[in-house]
Amino acid sequence: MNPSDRPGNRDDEQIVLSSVDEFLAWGKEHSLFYLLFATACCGIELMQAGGPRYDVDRLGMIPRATPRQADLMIVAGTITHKMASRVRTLWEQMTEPRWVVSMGSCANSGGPFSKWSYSVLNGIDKYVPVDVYIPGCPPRPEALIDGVMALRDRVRRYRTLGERDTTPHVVAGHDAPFGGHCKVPDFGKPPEGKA
Amino acid sequence: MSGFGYAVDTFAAWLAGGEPGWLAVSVAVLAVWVLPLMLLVFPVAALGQILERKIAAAIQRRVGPNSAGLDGPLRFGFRLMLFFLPRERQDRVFKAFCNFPPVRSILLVSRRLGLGQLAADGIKMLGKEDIVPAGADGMVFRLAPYLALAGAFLPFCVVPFGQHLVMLETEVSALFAVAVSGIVVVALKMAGWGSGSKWSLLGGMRAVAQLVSYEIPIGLAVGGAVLWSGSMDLHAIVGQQYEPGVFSLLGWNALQTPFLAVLMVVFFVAGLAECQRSPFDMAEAESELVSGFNTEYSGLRWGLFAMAEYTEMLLVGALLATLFLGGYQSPIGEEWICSLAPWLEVPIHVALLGAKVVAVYLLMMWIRWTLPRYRVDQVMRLAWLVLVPLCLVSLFGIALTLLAAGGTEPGEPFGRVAARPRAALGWLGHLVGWAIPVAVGAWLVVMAKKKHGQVHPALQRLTGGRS
Amino acid sequence: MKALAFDAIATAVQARFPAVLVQKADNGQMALRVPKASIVDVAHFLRTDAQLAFDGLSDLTAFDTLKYPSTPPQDDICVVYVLFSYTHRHKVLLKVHAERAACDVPTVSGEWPAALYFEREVWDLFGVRFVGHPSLRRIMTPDDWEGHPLRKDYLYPATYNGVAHLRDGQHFEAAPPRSGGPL
Repeated sequence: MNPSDRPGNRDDEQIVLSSVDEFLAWGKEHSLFYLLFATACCGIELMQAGGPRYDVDRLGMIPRATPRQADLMIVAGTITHKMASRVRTLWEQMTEPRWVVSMGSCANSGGPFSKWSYSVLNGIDKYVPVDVYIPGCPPRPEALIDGVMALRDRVRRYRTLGERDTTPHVVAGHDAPFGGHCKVPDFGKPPEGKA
Repeated sequence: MSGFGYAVDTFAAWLAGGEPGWLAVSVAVLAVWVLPLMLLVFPVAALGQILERKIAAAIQRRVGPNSAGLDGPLRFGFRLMLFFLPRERQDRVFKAFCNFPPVRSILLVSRRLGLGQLAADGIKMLGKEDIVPAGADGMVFRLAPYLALAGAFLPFCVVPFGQHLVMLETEVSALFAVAVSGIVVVALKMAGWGSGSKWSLLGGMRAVAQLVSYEIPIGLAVGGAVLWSGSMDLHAIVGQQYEPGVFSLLGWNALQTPFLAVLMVVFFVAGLAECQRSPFDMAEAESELVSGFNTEYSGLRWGLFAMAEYTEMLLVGALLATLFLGGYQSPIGEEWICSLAPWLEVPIHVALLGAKVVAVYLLMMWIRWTLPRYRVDQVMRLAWLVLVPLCLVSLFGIALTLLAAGGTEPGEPFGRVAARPRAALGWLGHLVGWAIPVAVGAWLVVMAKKKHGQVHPALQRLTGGRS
Repeated sequence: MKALAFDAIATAVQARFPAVLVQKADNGQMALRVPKASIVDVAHFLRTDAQLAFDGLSDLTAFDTLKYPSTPPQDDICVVYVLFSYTHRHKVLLKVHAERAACDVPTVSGEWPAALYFEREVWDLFGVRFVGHPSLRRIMTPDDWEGHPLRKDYLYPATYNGVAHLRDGQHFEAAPPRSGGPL
């Protein structure tokens, strides 16, 4: 079923409230403060996404150090069994409405550690509900931004009184090197005489 | 006279049609002062948060918020206006309106400037879950943000915005401003203690230690201006700085003696610390204390704390301008502005004060995004071992200058402010008054360099540098 | 300051403790094999002797000799001490073998406090019980973890905290690919 057709989510059911709700969702969509934490190399890409080249602040996203003030948890990196319960605690400390993005193979499924490591959790979705999965090891910042755009579609459909859309969304097309359909910046040829 | 200033008195008398009673005065205070002041201060403080994000982006060579425009609120407005139409028709009308070329350009520019970001952040905070942690002291926890905002807002009562625009005219308004802003200390402590969280508690303790320490240099700096002007009334201090003629800025306190200029810098630095701004943002140091005293606050309560911080920045700017930079006076041609009709003179004066405040505001943001954070013991050392001695020396210097002047001359009457006696320095006195302290200061630096071969070790320690 | 070669260090130690043997690994790495019971005395001697003065414990780790290509086959846990002297700028390796079943070694945290954390790690991952350690708790894995993961006969838990170790459709087919060779 299309999520926007779920009971309570159809905008023509509620005339006045749906307009207000739409406006509230617009605010939420443009002001996704993300929780500032990273556990592995995906975190480097996450930091890069906040830097001058990619600048997620354009989308109204700034990092917050405390879960109480964050809307979005980007699980960036390998989560071990020991860390998983802490991630769960952080998620519980976040205030509703809250969203979770699983960034990179480790957070999605355990990645390279999924089978032959005794300590790595095989996917953060075993502990917290994930809205968007971003494949890649690690995903480039473009892929992260693509995932955020996918999440924003979901936030736009969020209705305070409606049923929450919980179907996991997987951002496709980033399995290829340098993130699938994302345009790789052309830096030109490397200078002569260098490896 | 009610003691609430000319504007309130006139309005209350007009309301009551004679001698105003307490009700008329209360209504007049609300209508003439509290409401306009809130409408003036709070939007500027809120805009400051977006301005700060844009400035940070510019300093870090980023773009900053540029996706939230005015189209969201506009769509909401259309939905309300066209409530009788089905949604598809509403959407169609809205799209047609947005595609109208002038509207389209305006919307695009608003997006580029991130004008909708403020609305988006505010709406989001409104919709966030309001959590009071299980271990929190509910009452204290809930009260703290309002108290912080009140402490930051109340001192605006005594800041003169123009000839007739002072809410509360008292003989001790400088003291009032410093004392009332002390409420913020209590509020931060309440937030830290009431949250029932160790990060909040540590952040609150740091905030209190820092704020209490920096109130001393602030008090001494205010004391310097008070000593020079011979009055604790902020409006009288503004009047004292009036200088007829073209170059009215020659009358400003900061240009009277080097000691007052030093006190102005001290006031600014201590003001940065009072606002918990970088490089003194010990109370919110993310790398050490998750988010300091506001760790457990979510949604609108956290928004109030942010608002209090920006309001306090405005307050520091307003007090700095009032005490040292001639208040609402123009740097040139103040005499001419004073002779204008009130309907023209009042907005000009408010705009001039606003310009000075915004200049200080922007300087604070520039500093925040440029300098790294001090360590907590360095912050304390700066207050007690540098700023306080500097203030004491400057106070002593001001007293000496006043003594050396050997008498007073009648000052200029300034609008409704009565003429006050000024130190009879004359142009030669001003020259000597600047030359001697500057020469002594330069001599001290040279001697210190000669003795240690370099900058004095104390200065090196302060700046964290090595020889 | 006079840096000593391995032979000189070995001679000095063996003069005092005849039971200490010199051991050469396959890759040519020289080490002193110390009997389990005398490790604290040897450590004290190495640290306090003026010529040796090993004032730093650079590392304390272990490896499992099970499946180690040696005759006769062995299954000891070997604890390795990497010592460094900041005074003389020389270093030495000590090895202590502990039986798999009764795996206990006296602690050297009395000599080098740095050993406190190292020994907790070796206990956690190899199950070597350091006798006399003031607080021998797990440090890497969660407190309620079962087994010591870096032992070569360690079996992965099917679930931890209610979470299965393998995702749906995953299963162990064969031994994980290893490049082979000692260590």
